[in-house]
Amino acid sequence: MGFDTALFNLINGFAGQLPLLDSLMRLFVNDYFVPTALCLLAAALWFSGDGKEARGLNQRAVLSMLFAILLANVLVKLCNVVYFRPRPFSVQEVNLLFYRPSDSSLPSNAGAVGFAFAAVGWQRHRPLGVVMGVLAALFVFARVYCGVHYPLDVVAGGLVGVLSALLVSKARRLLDPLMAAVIAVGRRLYLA
Amino acid sequence: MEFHEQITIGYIFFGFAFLVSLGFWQILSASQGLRAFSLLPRGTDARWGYVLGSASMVLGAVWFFGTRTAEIFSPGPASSEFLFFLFLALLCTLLICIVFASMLGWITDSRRRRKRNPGSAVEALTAGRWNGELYLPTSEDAPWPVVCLVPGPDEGNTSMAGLGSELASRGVGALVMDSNRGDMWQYPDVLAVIPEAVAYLERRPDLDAGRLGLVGTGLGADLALRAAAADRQVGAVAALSPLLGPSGVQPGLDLLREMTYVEAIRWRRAQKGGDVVSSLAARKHIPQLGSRPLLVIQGERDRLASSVQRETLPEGAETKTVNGRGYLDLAQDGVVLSYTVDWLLKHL
Repeated sequence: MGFDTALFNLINGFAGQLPLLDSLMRLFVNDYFVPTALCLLAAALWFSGDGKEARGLNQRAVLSMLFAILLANVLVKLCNVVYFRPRPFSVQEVNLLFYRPSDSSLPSNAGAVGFAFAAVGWQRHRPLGVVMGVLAALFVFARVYCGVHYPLDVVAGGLVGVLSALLVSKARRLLDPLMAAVIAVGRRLYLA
Repeated sequence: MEFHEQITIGYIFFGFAFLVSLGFWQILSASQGLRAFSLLPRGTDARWGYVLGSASMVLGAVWFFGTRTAEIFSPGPASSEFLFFLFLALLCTLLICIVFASMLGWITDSRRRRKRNPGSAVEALTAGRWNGELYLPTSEDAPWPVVCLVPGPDEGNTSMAGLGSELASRGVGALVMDSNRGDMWQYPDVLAVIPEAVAYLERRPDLDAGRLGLVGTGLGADLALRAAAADRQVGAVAALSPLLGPSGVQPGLDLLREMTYVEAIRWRRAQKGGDVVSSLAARKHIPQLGSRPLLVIQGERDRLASSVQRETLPEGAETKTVNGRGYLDLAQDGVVLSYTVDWLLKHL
């Protein structure tokens, strides 16, 4: 934990030094910018693909993202039940550029969701996975920079997200009938 | 944070999500060629879609992140609540885009229907299984060769009116069938439609049914191919975007690349879910055309018609792919129109 705190102090130490960097980090840290971008990228994936077959694979990937996010949220809640880590601003002096969330610091929910998106995106479409991964990385880095998470929290959150994506991928055969039904309804509505 | 404050941030976030979603649909429409989601008139350069979409997204982002910092940096809707507002905004804007694009399509279509070439004489005809309009040349050299034009279901006679009028101005009579007639596309009755029309043309002294051509679009092309296969009198057949199989008639996003949402529903209903195209089995009957001239034209962006391989067609058949054109706009394309007329004049 000592290394974790030291790394947090190093990153959070930059906060308040450069107004431009602070503004940029405040853009990435909030609950709206990155999640909106990730959701719109997923929506774009749903509609992309040349032909029904390629589009069907993309649509399965989007549904996998939804399942992975759901699973990541459940895993984070379960972790919170068994272990509570206070936020950095609760235990030490920090440069806080965000509001004070009251839930457990570890694992980072933002990291779990962001990397769940990115991991499924990577499995289906490498460039999309990279874009989503960069957005998720900026999201979690901004969380540390703005003083709401320790680095270990976001790493744990990222691992939860990637693990969720892998578990959903393993359970693909189980989930496939449900995915096929959703896509069939989408096709009937001309939206898949 | 108080409940009413959470509701306020919810409303504010919905405003942001609304503008961003509206922009998203426009960019998606431009990049994927989804006509049914576009707020711009048909035929507008895709770049304007990107401009409109980006402008809406930037406006939303600048307003939200630039002016609502107090709400953004307060605990508010997160995770599931946030996703609910975003999903709602995506749905609302999708509905708005679909309705607006449908209205725009209807207005454009109404304008197109009102246009008519005044240079040719037109007779409205009604017979047993078919209605139509006969475009006659104004020259004195009757009897003229004649071409029977068969639009796909729900296209009426307007989609091929331009071709009919052009043929008449070049000295060829053109019977443009009205494909909107509800009972026309019942199988097997539909097989009698073209023979009945040909029998009518044979009775007219001003037309030379010995020099007879057939042109069809979509399912009309399938019908033209099937009729020509059965009637040796047909001298030449041009098929524009023949369906040749039921796969393009299945519901799905591909239809929205070609037409608005309302048009897609009507189009699919008119195709009777692909039953008629399967029953016509035009692909199976193409070899019966033998050495008679056959022209198959398809749009490069056509997602509905089955692709036609040159080697599967009889010897002497000609295929042409028109760049940048889809299923619906092929019959109205100037290049296709003049190419088809020239080809018919050469072979009749």
